Amino acid sequence: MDTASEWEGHRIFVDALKRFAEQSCKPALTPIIRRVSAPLRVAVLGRDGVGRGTVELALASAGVAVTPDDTGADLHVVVVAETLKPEDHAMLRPDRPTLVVLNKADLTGFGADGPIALAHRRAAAYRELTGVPTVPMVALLATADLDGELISALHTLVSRPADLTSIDAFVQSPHLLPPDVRGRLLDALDRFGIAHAVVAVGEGTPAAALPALLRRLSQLDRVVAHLEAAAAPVRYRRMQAAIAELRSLAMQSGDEQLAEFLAADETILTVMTTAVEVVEAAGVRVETGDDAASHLRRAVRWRRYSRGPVDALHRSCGADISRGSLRLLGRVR
Amino acid sequence: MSDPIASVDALVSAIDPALVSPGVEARDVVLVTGPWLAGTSSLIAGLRARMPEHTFVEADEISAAEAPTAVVFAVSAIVPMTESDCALIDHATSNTDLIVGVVSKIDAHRNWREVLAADRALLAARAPRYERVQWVGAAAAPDLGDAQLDELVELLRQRLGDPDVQRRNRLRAWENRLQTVIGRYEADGAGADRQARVSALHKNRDDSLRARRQTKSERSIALRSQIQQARVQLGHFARNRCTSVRSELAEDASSVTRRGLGQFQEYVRTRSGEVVDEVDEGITTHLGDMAGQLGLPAPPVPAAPPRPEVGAPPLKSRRLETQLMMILGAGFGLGVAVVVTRLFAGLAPGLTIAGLVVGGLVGLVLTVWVVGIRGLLHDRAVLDRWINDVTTALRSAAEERVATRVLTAETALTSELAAREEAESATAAEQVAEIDAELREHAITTARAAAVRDRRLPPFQQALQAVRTELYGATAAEPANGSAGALTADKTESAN
Repeated sequence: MDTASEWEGHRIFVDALKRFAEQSCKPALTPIIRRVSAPLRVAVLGRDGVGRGTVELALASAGVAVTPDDTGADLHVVVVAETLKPEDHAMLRPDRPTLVVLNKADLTGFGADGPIALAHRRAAAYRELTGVPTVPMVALLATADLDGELISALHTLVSRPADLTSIDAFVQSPHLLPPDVRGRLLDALDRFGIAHAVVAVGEGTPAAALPALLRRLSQLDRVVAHLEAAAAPVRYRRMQAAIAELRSLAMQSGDEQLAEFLAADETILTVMTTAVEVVEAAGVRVETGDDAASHLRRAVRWRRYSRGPVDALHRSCGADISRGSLRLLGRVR
Repeated sequence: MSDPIASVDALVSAIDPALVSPGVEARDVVLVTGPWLAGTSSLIAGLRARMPEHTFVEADEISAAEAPTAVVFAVSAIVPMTESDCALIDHATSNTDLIVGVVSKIDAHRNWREVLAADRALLAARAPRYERVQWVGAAAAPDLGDAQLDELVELLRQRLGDPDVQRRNRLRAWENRLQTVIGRYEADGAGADRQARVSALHKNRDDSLRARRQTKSERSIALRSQIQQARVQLGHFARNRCTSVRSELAEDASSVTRRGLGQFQEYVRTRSGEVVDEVDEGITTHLGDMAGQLGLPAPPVPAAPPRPEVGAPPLKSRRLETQLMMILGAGFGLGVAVVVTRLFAGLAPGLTIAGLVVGGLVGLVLTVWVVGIRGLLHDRAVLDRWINDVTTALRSAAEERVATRVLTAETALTSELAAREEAESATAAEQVAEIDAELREHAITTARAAAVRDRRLPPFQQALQAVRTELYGATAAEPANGSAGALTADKTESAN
């Protein structure tokens, strides 16, 4: 993922480390910075026909580093369509952060409030079933490429509505537009996209604004946000690894500057921010008060959390949040 | 009336009169089934509305012992079928020949035609009986517009109206039944259900024999090494004890007084007796511990060891030395007396007589003292040598005791071990014999099952061949035989 879309804590840490390396001219830091700031590789998995390729393209267009090698990937995206089959279940690996993308959400069927809302409900049900975050998506719309002919076809459809009751009716019913153009339009947008694009064009949306609209409809940004959330533990672990390396470097070389950088309030608070992202991605809320009492309360609560029945990652996150809160408390006093 | 079902049953019974029924009951319903979210319920509702003359049921409304007239298998047009969907269709259509594949929701999925083609190819490649499956697209409950069920309804009407349907379904039920039976006989003949038990028995047998060999060699090695260790450690212990008692007695001897001589000899005898007892006790403890470690009873303790013979020190036989000492002491005393006398005479000539007396007394006293001291020192030297002799004797006695007792213990423990091993081998042999008996029994049962299979299978195979020829024609029957194995497993429960 590119730096702009990365989450706060990790980005601030990388920036601060880069600044520090520039100021102190330490070439030894370069490989560590390279490792900690390397883009997260995402492997897109899925059965044939679920739109794996389209999702890959859409994610790549959003700046996600997609890799075909699923064993070396940091994150897995499992694409499913409509249902969760046993074959889909088999692709969910407990040892890797995974996001399930319920693709073709526009084809879920019309509920009371449209296919996307129904797809959201279904995704929530799948999440209950698998315990893996699941988000609906219309990958087709994220990658839609409308040329002039299709734009003018949309304009024609505004004034001369076509039969959208079924895909066969749309292509085969008599209409001003030639069937092959209608077929191309269907391939590019499908009925859901066509309906929304026609409404937008009818409301006077310029052609240049259509891709943004379609991207919004495709839910791509939401998928990327969930992907970022799923990646929080990976980023946190990388940061921890980098800090461990930096510590041993500071010890070996007796570098006081580096040791000071690692013990500085800013670094500790950055680590805390990243830890907060990890626990919030797991669904635990972290209180945000900025007075002494709430810092203390937070420190105590997360100290207790880190000693509770949680896994090693959350234990370490709890300790980092507690440490950061105590620093904040020290500052306020 | 020429009942197609009876005619099929007659065809099979003609080959083997024991085969009277395929074990399922034909029910004049159409089963509509499919994976989750394939749109089965709306499809069934649509079909019920459009074809009231037929009964449509869902999978839970029909039991495994009933064979529906037709199966409508619906899959969503969103994605081609998966292996799990194929397993579902295998299960649903085990006793029915008339299958109609439906790709549902074709109003929404723009590439439903590709999906339909893919589904058809996938299913046809799975088993030859699926090659005849006809596929249609349908949209039973579209969000917009009218339902698209015409093609399906027409196809169903045409297929259900075929007079051959009942016969073919019965043939299919027979095929499934015969396949299951043949599969069961073959599994029995191959001993498939016994395989796990037989391999477990073989493993047990090997384990038992190996464990036996291993413990045997381990134990004898342990015994040998423990005995060697005991020999070395106890010998060392005995020598150490003797050395320390020797230095202790030597120290005591160097400070013995003339009066304590008699007591000291007694003391040396007691100490050497104590040391012998200590060493013996040490041997008993060590050997007992060793036997305990090996899990054997402690070796028997022999009678208390004999005390080493300790003679008296040669203190008396020294007449010559005494005489010599008397002479030398007298000379020394005389010299001292003369010096003292002369000293008195020189200093005070009036006291010459008194000087003579004092000189004589001093000379006499010194003479007696020197002779006495010399005697004591001599006795001590003699005692020291004597102690050396005593401890040497003690040491050899202790070493001998160690050697004897270790040897006795070795003999006792070895024979005990041998007896124990004998008992254990007997137990192991018994176990192995039991396992062998069970293995033989399994082999006999399997052989019997194989014989039964060989006797019973030909009519079944013949019947299956005949059924398949009826179903798929003469050419398809042969290759269909080959794929029977893949379908056997999931049909076992449905046929029973």
